[in-house]
Amino acid sequence: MLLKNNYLYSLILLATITIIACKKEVNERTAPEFKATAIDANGGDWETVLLTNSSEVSIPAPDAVNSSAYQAEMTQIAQLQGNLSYNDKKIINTWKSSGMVKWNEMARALVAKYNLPPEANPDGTYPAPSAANPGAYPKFPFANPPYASRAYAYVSTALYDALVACWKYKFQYNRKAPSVNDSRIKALETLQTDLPSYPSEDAVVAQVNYRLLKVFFPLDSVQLLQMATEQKKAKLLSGAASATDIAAGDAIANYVATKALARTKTDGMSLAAGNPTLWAELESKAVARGATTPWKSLEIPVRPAMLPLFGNVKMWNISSEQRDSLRPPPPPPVGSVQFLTALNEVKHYATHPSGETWRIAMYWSDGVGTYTPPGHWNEIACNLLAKYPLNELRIARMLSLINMAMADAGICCWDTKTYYYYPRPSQMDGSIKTIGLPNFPSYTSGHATFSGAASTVLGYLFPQDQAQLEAMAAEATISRVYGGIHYRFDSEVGLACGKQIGSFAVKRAQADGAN
Amino acid sequence: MKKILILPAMLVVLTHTHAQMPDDGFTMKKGELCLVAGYEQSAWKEYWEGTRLRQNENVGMFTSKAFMPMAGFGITDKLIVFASLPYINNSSSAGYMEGKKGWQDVSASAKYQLLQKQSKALLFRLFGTAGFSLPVTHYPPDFLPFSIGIGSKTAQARLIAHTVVNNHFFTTLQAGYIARANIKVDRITYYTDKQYYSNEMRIPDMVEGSVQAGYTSNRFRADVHYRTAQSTSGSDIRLNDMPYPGNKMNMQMAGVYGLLWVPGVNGLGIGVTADKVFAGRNVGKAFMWMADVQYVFTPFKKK
Repeated sequence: MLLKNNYLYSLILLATITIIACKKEVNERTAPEFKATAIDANGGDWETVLLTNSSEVSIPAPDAVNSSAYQAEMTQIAQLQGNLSYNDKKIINTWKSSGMVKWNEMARALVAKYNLPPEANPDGTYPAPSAANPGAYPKFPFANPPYASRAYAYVSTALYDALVACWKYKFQYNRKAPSVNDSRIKALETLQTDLPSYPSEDAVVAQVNYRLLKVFFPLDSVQLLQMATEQKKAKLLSGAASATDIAAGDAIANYVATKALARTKTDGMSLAAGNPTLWAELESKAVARGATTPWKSLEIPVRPAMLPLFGNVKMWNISSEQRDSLRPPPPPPVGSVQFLTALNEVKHYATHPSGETWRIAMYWSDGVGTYTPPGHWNEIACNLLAKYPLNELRIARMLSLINMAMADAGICCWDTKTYYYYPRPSQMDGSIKTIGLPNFPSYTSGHATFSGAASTVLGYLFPQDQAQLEAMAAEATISRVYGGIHYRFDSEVGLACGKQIGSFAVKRAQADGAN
Repeated sequence: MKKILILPAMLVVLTHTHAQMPDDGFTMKKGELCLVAGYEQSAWKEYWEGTRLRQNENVGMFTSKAFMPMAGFGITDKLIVFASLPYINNSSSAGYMEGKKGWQDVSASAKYQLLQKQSKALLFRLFGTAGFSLPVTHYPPDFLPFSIGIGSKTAQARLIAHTVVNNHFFTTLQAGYIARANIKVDRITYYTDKQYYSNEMRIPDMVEGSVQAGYTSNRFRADVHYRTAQSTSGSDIRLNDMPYPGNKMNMQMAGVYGLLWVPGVNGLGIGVTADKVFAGRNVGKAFMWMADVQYVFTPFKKK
């Protein structure tokens, strides 16, 4: 009897241990720690994108280190450091590594938060989010891939320009950090001591992100302001920047942000959704060009295509003439041998998903409720920083280059989609089920185009990893065939086009003075 | 499209109420083996997105079919061990999301009679159950509602109080706790209540309970029952988002059960269950039915 009881007690014990052992916290990957990097003393000379050049912003000379005004600032910091609260220490710790990366993660989180398609109205139409009334359903914005790619590009490019200007004045005036200038002040985080702190690059990063992100995600402006304020405070407390260092950073940020935001008003995005008349026109134009089976929405109720006129939005590195010349040739005619072969391949993967093809399809799916494919490539880029640490200016350059390339890729790809209006595989064979069918034409693949552009730019910036980045792009590309939503030609043609678009950003990088 | 809901197969499996299950109040004799082959079908058109009951025309009718082989064995008159392994097939009548099918989680448990009191017409028994489950295949858990399970390793413990009056009328009260381990998904980041930069997803534990009342004889058994399952944590499906395995999945259901011991064949029984989910959160408002054949015999009799 005793022995038999032991069975049960062992089982109960085992269950209890298992229950206790099940820790519930999720292990998240951590941002790269601070590492000393080249400081790029000539960074102020680099070519800007939105600004004519870094001199366009003028920042007055700071007070001298031995001036009474500056000494008063130092005294104030020393006093603050003598009286740090728990929360002060926490924010110093929070902001000690790259602010650029932290804000990029924030932007991606916001995209994921707002990447939810509006639900249909009872009458079968779909409501559209309104920037004028962002809190009403559907909340503004619907951060779908085109919206996200554009937001990432604006934010990171404004950051890049503002940091170029910041670098110009850093080395023009050469006023170092409070903890370097004054022995009363400790460096409460690891600092790049040879990098001047006037104007504060952290203030630039905080303020540009705040100014732009609150326009792209207005419902979160309070949280964004809090983040920006906290970052600046952390740098003051840690001995990295003085109040005037921060104010000068803010001034640069505000100038560049205003310029970037002016561009958002005139880039054509407000026309990208179109209206029923235009939608009918787009379809009939495609039919006139030879589309025999134009794309139809397979959603119930029928949903208008996602931003069908996004292809007309102003690009960063490419003119609209260049876009037209980059537009891929027509896809194989529906019903042709080439088409049927491709359709059969999609059907094969959709009906025989292996563990590995499914894993790949899921890994790259980046669909509803995620930070989208451009967000995924921002994640890949930021992860490279663990291996190849860069200063904030170079991080901004990297992010600006890939995000301009991906925004251009999205625009070119959407132009192609609307131009050909090609049906999805499931439209041609209703038995093809998917990982989630995107609601816009098939040819060419957005994922493939984004991935071709981003991997080309990152491969240029990190040549040791070029082969691996290309392999990732190739996997992202084929993932859409595995997922049942793209023909192989959608993906392969999209990838090739994306690479060409990426090469425009590479040309910019080759000539921007950073090499 | 997409943005759906579920009745995770996990929960479906918990609803079975035939004889000699880990969560009922019936016993087996030492050496007895009970083999069960069950078929279950559950379907819903409406689901709770958080607390909002809604339909989704891009899912239409969601159907989950399960084949449920199970075995129970009496090690002693007081200790029974169980094992089961369902095969599940999930699909929907509308939309273009891929259905999923396959062998799900193997579960094993032991039920021990802790206490027995008899006084005149009243019999009272108290059981303790402990068990675990783990996925047997690498099915994708992060494609709900089509995923065949949550992909989590679980451990559970429960208490069962069983009262029989006049040898025939019975009530069973049952309560259990199911600890569920975090899972790995194919994505590297995901957004739920915030953005997580991890492929690890938190799966809430569950508290489960039921009440049964019925009649049993050596010819048939019948009961009515109420069952509840509540997540101890987890977040809601966001408006028009997809569900995910870490959602707070709660449900209450009620149903009836009947078991007929086939006359002339000792130990052969046929059972039928029907249940309706009437309240829930982040689950489908499902109707489910199950039919099973069970055979109880003593395979290793000492000569």
